[in-house]
Amino acid sequence: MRPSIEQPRSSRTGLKVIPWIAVLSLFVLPLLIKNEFYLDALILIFLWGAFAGGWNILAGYAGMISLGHNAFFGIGAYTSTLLLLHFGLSPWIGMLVGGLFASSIGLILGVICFRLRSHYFALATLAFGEVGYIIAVNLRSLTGGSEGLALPIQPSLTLFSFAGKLPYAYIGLFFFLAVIAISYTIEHSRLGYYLTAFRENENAARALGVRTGKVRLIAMVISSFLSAVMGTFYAQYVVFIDPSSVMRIQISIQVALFAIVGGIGTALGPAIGAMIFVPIAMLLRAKMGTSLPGLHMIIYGVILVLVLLYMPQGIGSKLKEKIPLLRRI
Amino acid sequence: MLEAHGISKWFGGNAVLSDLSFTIRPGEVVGLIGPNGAGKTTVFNVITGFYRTKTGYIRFNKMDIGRLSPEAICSLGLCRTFQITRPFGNISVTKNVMIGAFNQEKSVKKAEKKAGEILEFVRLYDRRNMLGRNLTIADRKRLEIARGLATSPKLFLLDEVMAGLNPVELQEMIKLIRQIADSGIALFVIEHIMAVIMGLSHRIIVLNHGEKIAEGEPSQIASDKEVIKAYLGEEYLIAQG
Repeated sequence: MRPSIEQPRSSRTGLKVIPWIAVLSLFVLPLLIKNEFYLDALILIFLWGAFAGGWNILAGYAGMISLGHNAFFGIGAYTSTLLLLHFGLSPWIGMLVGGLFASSIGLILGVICFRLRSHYFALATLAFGEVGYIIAVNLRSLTGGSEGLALPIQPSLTLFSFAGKLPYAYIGLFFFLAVIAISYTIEHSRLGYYLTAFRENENAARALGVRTGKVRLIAMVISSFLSAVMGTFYAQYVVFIDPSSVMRIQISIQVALFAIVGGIGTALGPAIGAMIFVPIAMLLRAKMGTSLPGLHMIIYGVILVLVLLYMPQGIGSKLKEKIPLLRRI
Repeated sequence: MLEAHGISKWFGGNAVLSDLSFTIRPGEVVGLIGPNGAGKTTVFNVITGFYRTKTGYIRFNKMDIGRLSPEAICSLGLCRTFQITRPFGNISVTKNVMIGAFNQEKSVKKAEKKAGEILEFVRLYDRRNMLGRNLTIADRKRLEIARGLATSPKLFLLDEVMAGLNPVELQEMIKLIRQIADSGIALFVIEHIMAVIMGLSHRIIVLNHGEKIAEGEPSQIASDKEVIKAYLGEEYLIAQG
């Protein structure tokens, strides 16, 4: 037997435990946080981390930067909420319906826009996201327009509604870990290799038998599904949605920012990005929200510029380089 | 095995290929030569589905492939390399080759094993963990070949895999191509270095201005007046002594 391709065997066994320790501590963390504010921050990290991870499946692995994922997020939020308000359907089921609806829209968007490359694709999806926003604002009879929709608060597991924050923290954690696991699985499967091949060189990939159109559509379907699921989670957690909180274009830019700074095209990168940005935004808003509103956007910009200058592959990739323990992930 | 008949290709008003016909038999090594701009790479692009033609037909193992996409054609066992190498720059050499191997292997483990074997075969195994973009020209050419071989082609099109190599690398490459041919894979080879293509090929097709001006065994081609006039020129005659 020749030695394994990635790492010498000796350093492997001990390393296997470390990710599990990290996961375990994430499970204990919500129990330790007694302060509502910090628990809120944790839930939002899970939410945005999972959403950015979903975005990353298409943008990171296939290199198709979408700025229209706000529409998928909004579709998820509105679908489950409307089904709940009008038909009393459990948001758990509404979440799946919203996910499937977003996937179908994603599929159509993919068929139309996949012939476009890099920034042209980004621009086309930007227009798509903006259309989503305009529809949400103007279709008042359905979405309530800019006044938004309030969700009923009636604590019950089947209605995805709880009195305290703790259950949301664990549901959020589940999504957060699930998206990382899905990303990791894709990355280490034939699909992940094919998406990477497309990103690196389309013609070379096609010459090697990679069905570049098909694999990107699969990535789009998964990515839009996960984004919509996080939209439902947002609606159930915040219990109020309006076009500017679930449909505006800044949402797409924000998840792109998280993923790019954390490490685009890696399973953990988007999660790392959310861990960095969400607390900054929350703290700045809490401390200086009145004196300097929007300061967090300026700080976001500075961090983005610094990261792109000094670690263009993202913080996650840099950590991987510096800490050998992380290299296997 | 490959049968092309009456292929023409225009870019705008320029005829790049006109009424080209040829066949390649199983296990054969066929050279494709011609001056710069003769249309050699265009022939490859047409065969592998990167360009479409409206005239004639192309059959691979009796199947019409003229309307198929490059990826579908590759799955049938017809693979090509690119003259300007196109490594997947940001992933390792092994992963580059695995992407080719996935053409036949679904499982990651099997693809990785196959990639390892092929990298040993093309003598790139000790560079397996390097990123594609960090390879030298000679290694990039080997990587192109390794990736293509990983798709398990029955007919393999090599587009100037010997260009830009130093004499030592060149000898290694010739040896490698012989080994591939010996393994039973039919080869269709574009090459500029005359001495090499003459030595490798069973048969040579000469292209000039998109037309086939000669076809035959290397010795016939070397003495063909039309070819010498159009392409080989005086230099080759002097080299022949």
